[in-house]
Amino acid sequence: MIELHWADYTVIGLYFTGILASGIWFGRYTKSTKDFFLGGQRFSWWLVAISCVATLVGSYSFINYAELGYKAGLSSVTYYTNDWFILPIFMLAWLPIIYFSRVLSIPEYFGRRFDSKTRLAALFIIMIYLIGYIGINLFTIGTAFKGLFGNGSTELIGPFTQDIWILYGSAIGVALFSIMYMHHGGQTSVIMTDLLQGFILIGAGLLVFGLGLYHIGGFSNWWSAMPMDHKLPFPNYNSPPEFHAIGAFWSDAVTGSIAFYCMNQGVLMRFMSVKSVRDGKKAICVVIIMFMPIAAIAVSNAGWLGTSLVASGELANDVKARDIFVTVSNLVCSPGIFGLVIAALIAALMSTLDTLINAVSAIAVNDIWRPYIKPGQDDKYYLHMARYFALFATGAGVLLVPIYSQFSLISEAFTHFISLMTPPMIVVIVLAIMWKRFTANAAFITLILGFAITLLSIAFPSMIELIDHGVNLVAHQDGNLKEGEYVAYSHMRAFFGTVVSFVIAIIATVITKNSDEEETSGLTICTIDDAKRSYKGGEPSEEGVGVKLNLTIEIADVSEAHLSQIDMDKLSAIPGDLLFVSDPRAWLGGLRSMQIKAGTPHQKSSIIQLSKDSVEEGSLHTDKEQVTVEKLM
Amino acid sequence: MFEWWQSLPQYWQSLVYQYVIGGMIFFTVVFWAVKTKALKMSSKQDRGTLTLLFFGFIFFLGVHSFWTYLVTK
Repeated sequence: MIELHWADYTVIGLYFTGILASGIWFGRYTKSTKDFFLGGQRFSWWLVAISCVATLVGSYSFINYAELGYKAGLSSVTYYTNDWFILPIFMLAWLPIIYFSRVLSIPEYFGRRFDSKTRLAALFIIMIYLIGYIGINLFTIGTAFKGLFGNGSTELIGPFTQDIWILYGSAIGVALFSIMYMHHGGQTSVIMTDLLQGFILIGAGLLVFGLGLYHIGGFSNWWSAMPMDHKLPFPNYNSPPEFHAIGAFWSDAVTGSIAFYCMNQGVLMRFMSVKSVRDGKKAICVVIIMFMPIAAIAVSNAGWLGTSLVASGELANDVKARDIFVTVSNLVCSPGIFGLVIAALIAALMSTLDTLINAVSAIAVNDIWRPYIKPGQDDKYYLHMARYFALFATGAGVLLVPIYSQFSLISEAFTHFISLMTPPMIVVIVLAIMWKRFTANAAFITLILGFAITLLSIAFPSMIELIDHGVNLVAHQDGNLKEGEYVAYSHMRAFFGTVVSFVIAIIATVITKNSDEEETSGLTICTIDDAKRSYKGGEPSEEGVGVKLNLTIEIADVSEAHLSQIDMDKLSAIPGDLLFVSDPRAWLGGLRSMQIKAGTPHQKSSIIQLSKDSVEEGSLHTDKEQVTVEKLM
Repeated sequence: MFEWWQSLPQYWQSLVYQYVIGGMIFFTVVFWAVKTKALKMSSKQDRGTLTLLFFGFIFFLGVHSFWTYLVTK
């Protein structure tokens, strides 16, 4: 049990107050369900990029990767530096398709691209995926708090031990706090609080590394205390069974990453909130090439420091790997700074949780409640229902905590879950966007049969052995398994599921025909231009994109944005083009902005005519008058 | 080929496997995007996107290779 100093409590208290205040403050920019779920499609790339990092780094990240860093060394960064391979799928196909087609949810995409039964199957899998994600985050925050305040006593307090009370109490408490601010302002509050939380969690993680190096006596002391295999960027090729390069590649770089970027409704909503596809592409590139490696260091370093501290005898070598983050942070941080680290841990949880809860609410309302249960109600009613679904999602996530606690490594528990759930879904998403011929029946069969066979491989692991790259054989050679036993295949199940689902999809497509319900226009990589045309309502053109003008607002009785002919020429715009009108202060990141179509030009130079409603919709200041105008398409 | 693969230390096997298989996925999707005109070579923006994608691939390959070399030399 760790005693917190009053300074730590003060920092944690300030953090909670700050997050709640900012969540409520930014919630006032939410004026419709579009704002609530998608943030109004107005945010700049940098705002989405930083908030996306906060979503990527969950509370499980600090505990999981510090644990992995302690056991395997620097190769724990593998999971954060291997996303580039699948980036073209997201950047060149998925992002433009969902953005230009105005798809609000992944099941909706399946409904439009295929049919209603495939939509229902996708809905079921995605809900389990999201709730499972919520569960792993709740479990890890509970584990961290148990490490902090638990005493390991088996004495019962009511029906449970003190540690169990801490595990569940902290998970539920932090989840409820997230719901409080998330429901005030939806996606806008989520993005703005995630921006703050992104800075806190990365800053605190790097601070621990800096203080740890100082504590150890400098970089060279730390580096020399680590064994050689702990200094490599990748784990071994196919051993040990719980963490190896082949497994990390298939379960994380391929299935995990495609699932995260293409199947996670929360991430989809984040990228739908960006002002243009161009900004979305910028955001994802900066996230993967710059922020992810930094985040990898921030979340893993406590484990790397732990190895050196154990080697120097400062930490007992029987320290639990799962507690290494809290133990090392407490050792190297002074009072107050340790409070910031705990705040970062909570920030990591809340920034992921708020996104996931908002995503579950969006799917529950848009894909279940609105179309099937209670159609035709007003926005207020659906927002009200979203609150109940958020509570449901949190409750379901809490129920998964006992299941996750059965695994020795948090990463193993999470990988098991990802490997089982995602392969059929990612195969269907990739083929749906890449292959026009891929049929609705093939998609449905792949989802059902692919999942069933992947599930069956738990009972019959010999199915995976055929393509396991020698993982089971090496485990036997190393003496880790008895004759006839199999490794858990937590990673290789992802590869097996992907191969099986891919084969099923190809065969099923060959033997089935496209149904009447299917639509491919704008929904595949071959037809992105159709989606652009439909989004813009005309022929898209790149000319003038990137040019920005500072204009003065004039309130008029108009429905579009009217500029002078000279300004229209400067933007190479014609009536019907999509414009982005924003507050000139770039640091607001598009908080005060809107997308609007260009109307017929007038003769007043440097003037933009807007209606009062449009100005209010974009939260623009009429008293400041000046706005920045650029052409989006 | 198999003997060459077997003779590689595990840390190089990890890197080679990841970049060969990952590279196949990466370049197949890029090729398909160009072929289907989702990425147009006539567009300045799209050419920039392609350059950025290739740069990122080479950047990660370079960093991982150099890191492995430095630790094991």
